[in-house]
Amino acid sequence: MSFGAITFNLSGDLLVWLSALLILAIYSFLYRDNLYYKLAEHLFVGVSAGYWFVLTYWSFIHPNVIQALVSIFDVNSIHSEMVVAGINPYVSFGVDLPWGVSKSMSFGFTSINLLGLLNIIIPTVLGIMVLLKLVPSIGWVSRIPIAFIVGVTAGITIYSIGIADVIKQISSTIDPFIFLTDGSQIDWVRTLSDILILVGVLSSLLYFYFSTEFKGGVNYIVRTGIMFLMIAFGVAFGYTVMARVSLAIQIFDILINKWLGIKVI
Amino acid sequence: MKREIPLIITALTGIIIIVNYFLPEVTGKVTQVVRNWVIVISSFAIILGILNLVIISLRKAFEPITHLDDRIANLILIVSLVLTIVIGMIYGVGPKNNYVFKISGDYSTVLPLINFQVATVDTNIFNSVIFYNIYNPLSAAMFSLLAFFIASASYRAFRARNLEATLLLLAAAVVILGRVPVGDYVFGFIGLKISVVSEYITAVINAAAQRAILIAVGIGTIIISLKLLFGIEKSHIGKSE
Amino acid sequence: MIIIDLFKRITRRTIFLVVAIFLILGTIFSDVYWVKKINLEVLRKTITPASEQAYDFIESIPSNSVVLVSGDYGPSTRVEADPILENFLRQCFRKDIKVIAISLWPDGAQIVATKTRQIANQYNKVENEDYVIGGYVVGAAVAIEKMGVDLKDAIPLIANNSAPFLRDIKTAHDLSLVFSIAAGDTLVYYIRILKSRYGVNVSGGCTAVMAAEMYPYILSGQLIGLFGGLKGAADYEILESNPEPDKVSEAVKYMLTQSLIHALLIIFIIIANIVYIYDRLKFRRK
Repeated sequence: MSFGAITFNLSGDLLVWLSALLILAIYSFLYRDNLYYKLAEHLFVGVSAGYWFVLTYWSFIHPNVIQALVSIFDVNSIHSEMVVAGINPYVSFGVDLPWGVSKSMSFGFTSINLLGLLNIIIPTVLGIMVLLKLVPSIGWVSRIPIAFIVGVTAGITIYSIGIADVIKQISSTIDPFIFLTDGSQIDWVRTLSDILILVGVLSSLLYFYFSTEFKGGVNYIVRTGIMFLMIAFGVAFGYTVMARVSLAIQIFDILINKWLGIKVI
Repeated sequence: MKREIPLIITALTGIIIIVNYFLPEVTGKVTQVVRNWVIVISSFAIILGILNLVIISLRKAFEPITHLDDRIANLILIVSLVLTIVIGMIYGVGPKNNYVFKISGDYSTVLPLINFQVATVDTNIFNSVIFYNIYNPLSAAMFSLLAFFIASASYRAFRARNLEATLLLLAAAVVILGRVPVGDYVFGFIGLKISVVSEYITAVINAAAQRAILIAVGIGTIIISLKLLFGIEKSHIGKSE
Repeated sequence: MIIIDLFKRITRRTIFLVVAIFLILGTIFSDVYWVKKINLEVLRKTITPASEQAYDFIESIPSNSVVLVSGDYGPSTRVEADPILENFLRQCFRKDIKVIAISLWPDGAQIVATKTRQIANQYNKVENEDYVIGGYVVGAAVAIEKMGVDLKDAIPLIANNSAPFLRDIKTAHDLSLVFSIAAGDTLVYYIRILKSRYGVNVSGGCTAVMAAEMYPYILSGQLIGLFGGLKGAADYEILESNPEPDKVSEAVKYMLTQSLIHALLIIFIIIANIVYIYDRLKFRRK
């Protein structure tokens, strides 16, 4: 249990310096709001928006929209000649397809057909209609594609939450709650835990029942429910503390280990 | 018409998805088409969000009434956004070294302290610089500020005011200590396994209350979704006209 | 009572400073051998049951099965999620399980691709043969629903992939496991859609923020197991490789800093409550 010495080894990596300075700019907010924080914050928003665009483009719009459209219409004859000649036009511009999948990428549709129309052209038109929201005079057009998203999301929500969160959770609560050990003895720990869960679920649920005034016996049950909920919130808070602290740890790892290179021997 | 068509589409698509749950064979093809459309539309929606951000920032950057700091900040936002997109479109997101990013030369005269170099010379500049060394630290640092705020919050707001608050406090304390080695190490001297206590509270009492929340919130969400489908809730269509 | 008055005058910035000092100390000393040894000894004895369930299930998957790993997290939560992803990939590659690696978050795609390639190299696994990378999958819940009907259609970048193990994979039902490492709702989506509707085995990891909310699903058997936060990551590392103190990775090492800050917070809470009770008693006496 002895420490010999503390050594410094300042990083010479420009990129590490970049990371470290950006982190310090953000952390200056802890002292007070200032220009460096504001600049770093806006840089973060700009880079993340750009990053989302690039990722969406290469992972989805490029293979599923652009390439599919090109192949449907076959308008880009130069493009197809290049493909025939074995030259990938994207590579020749120094572009490689994402995650090195270029060699296995094919276009899906070879000519105009109903499927291509259904799966590519109509949704692309709908997608462009979304962008029209930015034009005030015809902004209402974007409601149509948005309606698709809302409808499908609502549909999925109804059945998935209905089954997984409501029905399954209720059925799991009212499952038999007396457990036997291998020797056909009652497993008291599990049995009591399950009874506790049953009591907890029912009493907490009653708290969410707003159609009656909590009086008399009901009040006692609701008070029990509130205790369960409070413990759950406490647990959730404890876990949140853990998560937040972890986030800071990785930052100090960059600053102390990668940038300053402080080590105890 | 401007309101009715979207409402009809919402109702129809939602019903298609729900019917498909019960009759997957009959409505399989239609549902698949609708799903494909929605995914393409959502990818365009991401672009809409980005364009919207650009427009708002441009307005802020060039409006004379905005404070100078804000104008510079918004300009940085736009420039960084455009640069990221340009680099990402040129170099792609693949790991191959399409382009070697290298800073050569002797910087010892400029910065005599350290001998600068760049360690990641062999990966895509979009990955190595933009993602791993700008986006990554910024995003992590931004969210890690919460660690400091939660520390301050637990000092200022956590009081054993009454029975409920005390329960919340005790549960939090048990979990805070039970999930890290120090808790078991310290309580180990009095023979208490605090991690077991913390796990029991989480897996039984917490699970019961969370389940009640899940059921209650679930029913609420289903009702909101039904309202959307039946056109009772119209916020997604926007205001009248 | 001078001390009580002193405690009352603690400002936000003082707390920030104390937390920062402890973070620095923790980070510096987390690499010391005997610190790692004590951490490891305690952690070995306190493995979370949920982590063990998740680990045992993956252990029971026969080799050459196909699993989908979905790294749905961004850079901000890498500290918790990265070790879970790494250890999951190690376990899969060690057991010769084929992996499809995707992300439902754009920020995660890059991390998942890099990590998968890194770990695969260590186990001499070949891309498009032992594993494929599906990148960012747009559409969240809708994309997950698509996986239940046609997996390759749902993940555009593997649609035309020639990897031999993909030949027998039609829908998510052909997967032995879907493992989601989530910093958001995606793990819940997988449970609600793939598990409840299509009966696919779902397991995963998540940030500690969400861990408490996931327990009802574990209780009802909808979620096989869970690696929650940094503790879950440390559990996974001990279960998977049971390293010696000098070979531990970040997840175990960081437990020192985590411990220090947690202890500090408990001290803060105790001080705050002593001040509060003292004030109340004084008020009552008056």
